[in-house]
Amino acid sequence: MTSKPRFVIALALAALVGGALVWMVFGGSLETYASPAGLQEGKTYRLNAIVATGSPTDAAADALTPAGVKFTVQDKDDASKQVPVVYHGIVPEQFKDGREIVVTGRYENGTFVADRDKLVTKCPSKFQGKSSASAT
Amino acid sequence: MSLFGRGVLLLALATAVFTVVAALIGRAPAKRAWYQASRRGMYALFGLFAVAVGTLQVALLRGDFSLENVAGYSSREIQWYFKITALWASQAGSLMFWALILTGFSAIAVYTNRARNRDLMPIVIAILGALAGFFALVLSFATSPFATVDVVPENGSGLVSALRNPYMITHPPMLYLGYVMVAIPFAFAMAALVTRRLDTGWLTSMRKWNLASWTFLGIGIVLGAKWAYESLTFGGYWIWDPVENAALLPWLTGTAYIHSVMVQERRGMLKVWNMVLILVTFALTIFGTFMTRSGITSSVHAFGARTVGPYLLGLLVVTLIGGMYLIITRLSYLKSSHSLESYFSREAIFLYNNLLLVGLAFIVTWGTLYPAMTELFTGEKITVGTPFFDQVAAPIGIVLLILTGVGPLIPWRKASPKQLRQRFLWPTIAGLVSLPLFLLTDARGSWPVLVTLVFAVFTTVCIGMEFWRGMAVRHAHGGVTWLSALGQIISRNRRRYGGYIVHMGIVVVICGIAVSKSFVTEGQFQLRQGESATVSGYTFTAISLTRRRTAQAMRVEAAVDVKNASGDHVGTLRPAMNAFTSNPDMGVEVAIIGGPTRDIWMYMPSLRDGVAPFKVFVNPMVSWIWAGGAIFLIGAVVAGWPEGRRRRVPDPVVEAERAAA
Repeated sequence: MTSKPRFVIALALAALVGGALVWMVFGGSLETYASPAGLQEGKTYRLNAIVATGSPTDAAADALTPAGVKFTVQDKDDASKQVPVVYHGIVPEQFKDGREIVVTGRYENGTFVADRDKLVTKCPSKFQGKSSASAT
Repeated sequence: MSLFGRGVLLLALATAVFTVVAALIGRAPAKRAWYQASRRGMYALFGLFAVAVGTLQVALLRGDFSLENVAGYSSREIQWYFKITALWASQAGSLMFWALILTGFSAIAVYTNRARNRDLMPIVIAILGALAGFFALVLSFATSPFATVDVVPENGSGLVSALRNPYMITHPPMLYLGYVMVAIPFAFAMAALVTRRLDTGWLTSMRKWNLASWTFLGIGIVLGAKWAYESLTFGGYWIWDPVENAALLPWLTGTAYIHSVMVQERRGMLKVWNMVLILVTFALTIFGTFMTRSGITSSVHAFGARTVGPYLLGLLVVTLIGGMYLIITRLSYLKSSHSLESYFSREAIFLYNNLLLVGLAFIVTWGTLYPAMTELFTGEKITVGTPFFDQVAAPIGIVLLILTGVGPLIPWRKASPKQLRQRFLWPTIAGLVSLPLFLLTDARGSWPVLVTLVFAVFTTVCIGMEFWRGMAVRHAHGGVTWLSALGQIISRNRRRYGGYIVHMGIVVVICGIAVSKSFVTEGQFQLRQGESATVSGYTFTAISLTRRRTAQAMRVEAAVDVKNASGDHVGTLRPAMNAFTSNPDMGVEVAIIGGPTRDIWMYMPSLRDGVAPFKVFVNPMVSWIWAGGAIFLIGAVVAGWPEGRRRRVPDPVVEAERAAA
């Protein structure tokens, strides 16, 4: 190939432009997975935790009011590590005490302020607790 | 039943071992009998997996709840067809279904090549036999589809309501077909490397397989997006979830492959690159399975037990190391017959398209694995959100869109400036004229959308002119109408014009994605019966909110009237929510009013004290994605249709069989 050096330079340039693009958008989109134990003031997280008992029965309706729905989540392994959450938006139908959720937002003044509509419940692929299936 | 099923799988494992050994011995021209035996071994493997799948299927249909995979995914009440599809609701069941498809395709490939490729076939059979053996091993020792439960329940716990959906019947099998079919071209490529028979012979015999697997994968992805859109509660169709990415990645590299293979067929170039691409595509199918089944990434898809991860990782490592070893040791056989003569030639455009597709695949892989990597190295799990993927994919998608239009119009080897001027005059004019027109619409709000739409017009005109040129030549011969001229050019060169139709489908899909991602209007409100709310010019009035008990669930449903800004009735949305009495599951029924320019999407999570909260999306042009998917399928069927036959109504099933045969 007569123009091999030129080709290599072109490729390198393309890679550079691509890399720059990735780098530029990269910083703005990072979110850290966290549990209630490891939150730092003023940072954005994807909080993975379990809904503590005593969450409002009418969470779906509360969440659409200006005040939002308030509930507490606890660490998946350590129930004593808890953090209050304020959330606005749609509450998934699976939401209830004891359900594992992932919610995105910022930790501010001791409360996790969730972004609108950024609450998802993690659901098991099959019904757990009902079947007495042995693990194989 | 459990014992019988397990026995069949063990027998399959033994047969696979025999098939591989027989095939390897059968390589020698004198050992014809062994080669014969290995071919029959392949047929037998298909038969055994068919019996194994049939056994589980009978158990599912009869409701044999002593089996874990029946009790956990089926129940007496669910419809018979969901009892059948419950096969691929469980991990072990889906892997067994996978093995059935793999051995089925292997048997077809062995049969159709019975009088051809005598030197390649033993290696092909050995590779495919080893893969079948891998599945038999995993199904026997890691995750048995015939595992029993200690206490046999009275009834199964049923299928999760999200899976009780027509898409459950079509989406997973389509993806499996696409995923598994990649194994056939991969096995041929590796066999060509092993035997050093690296002419284009094996490439041409794999054309239809490549096309078919790539088509199934593409259709599977579109169906999955449509399923998510119509049944999940986020109002979109794609969130760069690891499982979605797992399906997209081999499709991206597969797209690169079917283009670059043309360069090899035509110009004898990119031979090493093609080998790497088919290796990577196959590896990505295993990697995708590993990623989704091992639990290293968090996903909205939940896949039960995760016991097969190490096995898949092992297979992945063996594949990559083995493949790379073969390519490196055969480098001298993979020399290009020509070199790149110009940066404006068909082969150069294909090269750019390849670099972009592979680059995109690389970035998506990296973004998908980033949380797992950061957790491994820093202990903190950091994820890149969907904006990352969106912002990287958008510019790459736009350039690919342009190349889609430019590529077919640029001649092989070298394009002269005169040719370029001639061919791109009208597409360029059309693009320039369309810009002020788009500025009059809402598209002016987003420059990436404007750029996408202008180049979509450019590319459409490019494709249209290709058809036009062909038709004009045919018509000039006289004696044919324009319509039959169109029919003639397509039937004389199906591969080419089918490809253009596929391109057109992709253009339509890209327009749909660009517009729908950029101009979503979202609204949330609570209504009592008779109350109204307005979102994006549409007025929503709750005409009825009811709660009633059905045979299986407590059902909450609403009828919401929709009127547009000028007061015309647009339609009635009927979202609903079912709380099942027999299990803790909730069934969501999202309501959608579709249309060519916009969809109105509505979700109602609950109804309490006569008040229902609603979430509404006005999504522009989402239906274009589904329409584009349909055009894509038509184009792929045209391209894959066997030559020299009369055209009939395209039937994807028949076509798949044909493509396979």
